[in-house]
Amino acid sequence: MKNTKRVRVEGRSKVTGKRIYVDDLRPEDTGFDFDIAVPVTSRCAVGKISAIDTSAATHVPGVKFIMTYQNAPKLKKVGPLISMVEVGGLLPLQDNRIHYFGQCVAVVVADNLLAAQEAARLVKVSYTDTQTPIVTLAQAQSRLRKVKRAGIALGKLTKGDAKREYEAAAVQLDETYHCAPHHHNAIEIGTAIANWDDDGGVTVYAATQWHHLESLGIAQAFGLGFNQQLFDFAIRMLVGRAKEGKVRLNNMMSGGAFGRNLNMIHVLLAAMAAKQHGKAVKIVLSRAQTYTMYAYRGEVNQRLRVGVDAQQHLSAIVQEPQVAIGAAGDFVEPVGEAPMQLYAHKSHFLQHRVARLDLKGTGWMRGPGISSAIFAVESAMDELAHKQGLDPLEFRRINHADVNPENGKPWASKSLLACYDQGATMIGWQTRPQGGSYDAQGQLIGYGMATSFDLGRQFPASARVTLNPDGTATVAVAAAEIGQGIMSALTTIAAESLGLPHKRITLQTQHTKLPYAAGSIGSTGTFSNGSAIYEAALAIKARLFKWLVKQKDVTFYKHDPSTLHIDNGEVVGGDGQRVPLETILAYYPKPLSHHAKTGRTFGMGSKFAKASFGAIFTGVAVDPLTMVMKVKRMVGAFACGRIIEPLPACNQILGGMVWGMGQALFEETRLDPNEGSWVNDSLAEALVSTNADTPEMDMVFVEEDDTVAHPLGMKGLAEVGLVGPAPAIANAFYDATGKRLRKLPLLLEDRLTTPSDRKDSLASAVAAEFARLPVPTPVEVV
Amino acid sequence: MKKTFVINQTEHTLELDPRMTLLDLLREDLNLIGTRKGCDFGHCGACTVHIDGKRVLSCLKLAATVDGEVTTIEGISQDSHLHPMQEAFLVHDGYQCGYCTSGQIMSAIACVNEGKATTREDIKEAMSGNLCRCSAYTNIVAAIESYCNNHTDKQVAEQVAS
Repeated sequence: MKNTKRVRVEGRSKVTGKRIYVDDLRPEDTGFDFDIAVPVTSRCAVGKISAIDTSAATHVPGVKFIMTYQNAPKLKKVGPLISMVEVGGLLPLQDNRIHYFGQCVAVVVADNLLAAQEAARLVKVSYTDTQTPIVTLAQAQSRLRKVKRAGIALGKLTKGDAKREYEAAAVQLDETYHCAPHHHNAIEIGTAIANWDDDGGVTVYAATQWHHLESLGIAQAFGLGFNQQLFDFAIRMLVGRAKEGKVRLNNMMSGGAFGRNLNMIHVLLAAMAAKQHGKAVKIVLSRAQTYTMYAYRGEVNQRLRVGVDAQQHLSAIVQEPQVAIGAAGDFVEPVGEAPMQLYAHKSHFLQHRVARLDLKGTGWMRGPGISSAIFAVESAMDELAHKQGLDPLEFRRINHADVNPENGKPWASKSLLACYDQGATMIGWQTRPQGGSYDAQGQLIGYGMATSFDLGRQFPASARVTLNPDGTATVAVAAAEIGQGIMSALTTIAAESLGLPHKRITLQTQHTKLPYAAGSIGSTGTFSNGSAIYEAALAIKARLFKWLVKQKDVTFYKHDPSTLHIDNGEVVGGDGQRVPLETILAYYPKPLSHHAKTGRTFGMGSKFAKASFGAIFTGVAVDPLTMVMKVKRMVGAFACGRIIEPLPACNQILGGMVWGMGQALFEETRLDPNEGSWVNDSLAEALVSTNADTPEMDMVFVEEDDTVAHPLGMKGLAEVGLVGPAPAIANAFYDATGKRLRKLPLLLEDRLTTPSDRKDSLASAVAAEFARLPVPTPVEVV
Repeated sequence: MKKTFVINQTEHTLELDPRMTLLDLLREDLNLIGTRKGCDFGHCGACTVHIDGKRVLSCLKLAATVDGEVTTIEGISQDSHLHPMQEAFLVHDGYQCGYCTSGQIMSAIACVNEGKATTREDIKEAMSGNLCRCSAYTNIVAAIESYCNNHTDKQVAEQVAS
């Protein structure tokens, strides 16, 4: 069947392999020659470098320069950065101290990749004053401290007296939920190019999610402006200033980002090496280095208490997350942001506590905080429903939040109940078999569901739209394409706002000299930048029509400008007369261009609350003896306001659901507790979902109108697919086996050993057998 | 050492570093950048190319050991004329960031050629050596299915051979 939906604007370049990612750049693309740099990382977690022997490395033919802390440029303090990642607290190669395993200790520059890689292996680093690192929350209990902020959310929240309400509740749940650390594992490894310009500025090629935030970090580190740091950045953000400064960033498309491509260490290293080497360099990471040169999602352990009153309404939510962060950087998973806005409830208490571990700094990852939070809350909702003899879906309907429970504001739009209905119909929720019955293959059948949620925000953004004399339009907005389809969506918004066919729109996004744009982060990029384009288009049309009705020899003389509009490249009068836009523009006296700035209040001035919602339903099959689980079917219904580009939007949601499944079944980067290293630092061992793991999936968007909050009617959708599947699968596993697992991923050993509520079942007997096995004694590491 | 390669039907005689993988040869020496490096260890499939029509992970193949005609993503279409598998990926949005896409398409063509695209389950299994972290798997399978449905076995064989 021919698919009539629009393909992506950059789609052809992707299916032909012609798309240029950073690693694909050659001197003919950049206009300058460059050498190849490769980092060397520490094999020690906590200690000091006592000696670096580069003699063998320098003898490799082709090697030109080796940078260590002894000869690296001294950088200026960076931060505080909005990304809150490591470089705000720890800059690379500034002294001999080692804070975590895998920290950069040297950069080898050669005239070719093979020589640089071979020489990097020959750099010998010796360490002294080494200490055993603390790398898990269990080891770090004495390091826990309360924090005021988590991500961009508050670290502490209270409503009523939640602890007292909990004590008085008719039904209580008091459990602890654990989420393992894991990495983004984008398939693009990581490359950056830097070249120092004659005027003392630097030209950089990188793949970042936020052009101007990336360049802010570089500018601060090298003293190239932004001396007022955040203040100066805020000015750029709020005024939408297009002035580039001396950091000239070319942002190439990201080969996957998922939160990791923000203020990256290797981008700074490229600029440092180029400065010291006296020639441009291209730094190339290895796959293993991505585990310590980029941020990741840190470990989270949360105690959750939920109280329910006799009318089956939530009376208290007490959430106490312990969040691991790294040796530097201040990013804390905002675990408490979502639960307090999800269901109606009488009281809540939230306090994040944070432990600084001897690890690489943590950072943003798709569904920051919310994916861990929803796992706990939605597992708890399922468990509480069972305690009360209620259908899990019915219990959620009873506690539906008609207004935002945290601030009491009405939702601009909310179609969660319709999502429940449509998702339930898609999977056949009402007619599902009894949990724990056997299918034709002798597997235990289980069904589970969860609510999902995404706080779409509007961030400050700006865009310049220019109508060219030939009736085409140029849209300049430094927005970052990371695979979400933002280029297609922004093209569509521009085409619709201007009344032009898509093919007449040219989008410019690559450089920091383009107008300041919001980053591709937190389900905000398309909406924030789309708003700026929309407003620029409105301003241009208003100016054009005002001029047009004064032109005596033109069709629309003395028309009311408010009756005019542009459709398919023609100006249309209230009387239906049509004149091609290019005919009119040929007479317009000067360039018709407008630079619009939007979102300065971050959408917080609105009297409405804004969020996307969804409902995930899943069916699993579990082997009764081995507890091997296969997700057979996963469906979702989502309400995300207006969908601009259906093809990439559906794709992103389905991909998010697969991420959620991966979080449930596989995703964990494991630590060696003695060495402090990530053990499974490869794509073969840090398991992510493959094609064969992916179940039969289906999704629908529930139509909704969010125009009361913004004329574009948009909300965020990048994360709403991801946050529900993990608890839905855990709940389905319970339905199948009677075993309640509260640790992600749902490891096979936990599936086997967790006792079952169904005392007479085979699953229960298997767990009892495991309980009889002797506990192995840990091997002493000498 | 000197070695002659046939890559996308063009002969190249090159002075070869014996450490060089086929992937690095393609990317660094021949500027065929459409074949991507995702791991350099044979884990992700982004570097999949064909040697005599069979899929090979070019990062695991030392260039010196290449024995046969190499086809890369640049070799399956000419100018503006897409290979029907590329067309299917485009229309079905069988990608997001696009970084793994060259490998997915090369693998998909071979997967059909190997006779492994008979059922959805078979396609999923045969395509599981190609990771897509954006997880566009549903659309990738839809693209391959539509390619198979739009082409008779004979047409498929001809396209794959050409």
